[in-house]
Amino acid sequence: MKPPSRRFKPTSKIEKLVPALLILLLLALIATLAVIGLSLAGVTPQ
Amino acid sequence: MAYLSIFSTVITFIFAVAVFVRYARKKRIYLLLWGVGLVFYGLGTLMEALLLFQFNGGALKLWYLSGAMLTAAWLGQGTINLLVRKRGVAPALNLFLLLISLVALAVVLAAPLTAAASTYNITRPASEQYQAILTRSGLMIFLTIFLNIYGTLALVGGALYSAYLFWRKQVLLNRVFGNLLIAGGALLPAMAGSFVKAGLVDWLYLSELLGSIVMFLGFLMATAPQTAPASSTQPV
Repeated sequence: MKPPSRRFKPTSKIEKLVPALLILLLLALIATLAVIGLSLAGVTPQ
Repeated sequence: MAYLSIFSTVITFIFAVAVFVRYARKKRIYLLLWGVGLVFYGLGTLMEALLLFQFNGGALKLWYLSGAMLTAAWLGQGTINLLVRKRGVAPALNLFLLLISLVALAVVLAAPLTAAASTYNITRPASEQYQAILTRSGLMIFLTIFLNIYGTLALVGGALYSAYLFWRKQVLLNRVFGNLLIAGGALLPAMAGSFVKAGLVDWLYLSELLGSIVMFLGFLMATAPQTAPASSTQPV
């Protein structure tokens, strides 16, 4: 029996959702790194 | 609030056991490092829970060392071992992290507690009060910043990079979403310090709990055997 394919063809919803999530999480990562540095250094307001 | 930390601890240790079981089967170093990182995560939330019942200087130091310094770095180190293929690089970074972690242990153990320890308020979180109690040297602050930035960048950046690669190749949709969940889950506790600064203390506990759950779901999704094409996709 042929094993199931590991490839996929995304639906139109998934095609929009994944790039949007990637960009959103990347922006969140950049913001978090900036805040970690600033807050631990005591630069951000208390 | 303590029950949120207790839930986080239980879920994180279950997650750690799942990762160690997978390590026992696969013998891949990245799984061992993720497991160690999760043990630090669980120790951090456990000490946080303990500090909501009674103040203890050792618990505060262990909370700071594991939760604020080592968790992100060891989890991120796992991802580096998964993704970096160039011979010798990952082992060198492993040794570097081990040495840095030992230095972190030494500086935290040597850090004196101030008289403010006697006025510790158990109804408030440790993260709101530790700066007045734990005397942090310049080296300790530098290591905390360095380890957190290094670990967050490696863990979240690595998960996003993996998700992007699977997406670009259009293979294993479960790993695309699994890695997106790992990235999102890892960002939640990373942002916890900002929640405290903004006065959203309850969010701190919630972000740690949600972070652990979301990362665990991401791990389970990414490692699930694909026996059939995902329902939201059409097989090609």
